[in-house]
Amino acid sequence: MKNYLQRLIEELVRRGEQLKGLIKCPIEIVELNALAVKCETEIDTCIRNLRELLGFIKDDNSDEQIVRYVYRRYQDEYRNIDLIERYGISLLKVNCQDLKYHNRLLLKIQTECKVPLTIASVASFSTESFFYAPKTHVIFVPAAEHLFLQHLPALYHELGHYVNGNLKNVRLTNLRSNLSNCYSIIKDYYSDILKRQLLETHSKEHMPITFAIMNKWKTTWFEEILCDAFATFLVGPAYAWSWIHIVSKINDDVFFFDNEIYRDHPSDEARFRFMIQCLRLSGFTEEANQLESVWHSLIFVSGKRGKPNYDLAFPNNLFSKLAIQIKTGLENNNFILCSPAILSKLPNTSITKSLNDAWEIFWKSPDGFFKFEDERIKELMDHISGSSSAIPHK
Amino acid sequence: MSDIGLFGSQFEINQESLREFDNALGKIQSNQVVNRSLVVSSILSVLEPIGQSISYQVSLSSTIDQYNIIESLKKKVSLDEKTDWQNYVVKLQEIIEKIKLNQIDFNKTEIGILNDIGDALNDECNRHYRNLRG
Repeated sequence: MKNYLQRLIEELVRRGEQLKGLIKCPIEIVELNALAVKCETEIDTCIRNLRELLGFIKDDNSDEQIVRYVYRRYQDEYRNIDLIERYGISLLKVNCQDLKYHNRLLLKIQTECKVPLTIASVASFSTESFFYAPKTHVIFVPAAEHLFLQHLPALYHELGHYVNGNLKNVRLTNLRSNLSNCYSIIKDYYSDILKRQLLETHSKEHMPITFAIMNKWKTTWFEEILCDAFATFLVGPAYAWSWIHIVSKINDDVFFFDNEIYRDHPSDEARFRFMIQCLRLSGFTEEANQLESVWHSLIFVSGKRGKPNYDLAFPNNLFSKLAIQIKTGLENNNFILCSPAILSKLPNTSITKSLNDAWEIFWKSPDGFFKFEDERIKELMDHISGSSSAIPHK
Repeated sequence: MSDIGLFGSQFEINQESLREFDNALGKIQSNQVVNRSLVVSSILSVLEPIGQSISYQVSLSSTIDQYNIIESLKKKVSLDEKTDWQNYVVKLQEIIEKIKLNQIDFNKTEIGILNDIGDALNDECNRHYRNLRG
């Protein structure tokens, strides 16, 4: 094993060096410079760590426990280099107009909302809807998304994952403190329930479920609703509308909850309910009512409900406390949050305004929506990149 | 919107813990401990939440899924005829107490248990990584 492990490590060092060679200097798309630096730094660290491991393995005194340790470290570095190649280097090899546009669009969003972090990158060739790759700080979006306005609010949700992954940054100290409060609120909420269940003989059998729910909140559910809150507070009703639009296309059971199988996302219904609470906190009362009215009319919502313990998993009174904490944290870190007053003053070239206008037109003048969408995208492209050449001729 | 983002952030959280833990364990195994308190806190940041979860206490100091880590350890122990879970838990709690007293001179059995913890954390990283790769 020791000799083979040595060869594996040497091979990975070589792969790291080759990957570095694929990063062209200077970068063709300057907006991806931060990504190039991130990839290069990560690869350099991997190579350094791998060379250190070679020292361990070449030591004649290395025993079985050392080999276990080195193999584990090798696997870790392998995963790291693979993810950098997959979610970083692949993007650096692409050069097209819409990639530039998407990256400038994100720059504008981060500037408009005063997100106090370096600009994340965008890859416009996702095969998996919108998602964020934390290893390289890249948001992946589907290939044609720059030609539409109704799904783009999802970018704000992914931006939320970027912010959440960088909470140790000193610029986010206040937000981190409020999010820490959120975890305490979740713990207190379910601890109280567990205490009651412990005292009531007939409720003891529910304790493992309550534990499992609390564990899920801690590990993944909270991050997901945090990103929903982030998007709703920053871009307003457009995010909730966009959410309905996406769910209408791909939902299976919006009330999904199962005592045995725990998905990584809270149910779609719970997330929608949480967004509505965030909108009401932001002053969008009328819009929240409209959204609820449309939601309850949907064929996959109307008359449906969750299984037993659904309300235990996704309770309104927990949501309201979390929403307040998240909003306060964002305000304390000077993010620009969306409100009816702010929205009314924004120019057409504002992304927040455009995304909300799109939904207003969609509902009020659906026949003119496509024309509006084309014109507004052209306007945005001209404003953001100085050119609308990323729009294909129709 | 896709689950990939969540897999990614879970992977990062687990990887950060694994790296901190292994960095400290590597120093112990190669007798290169310079900053003892840093090594102690790095090891404890992983071991304590596991110890608490084994005793059914709620730990919010880490967003790692302790239940998966414990299941991975149970599986490992079940494959070893010489040891049983209860004894293993006692040994693990003894290691935690020992580290809390700033003692990091471990015998081979204890290093083996620390490597088990590292492997369990590594399994968790692998699980998220496989999800990430689709």
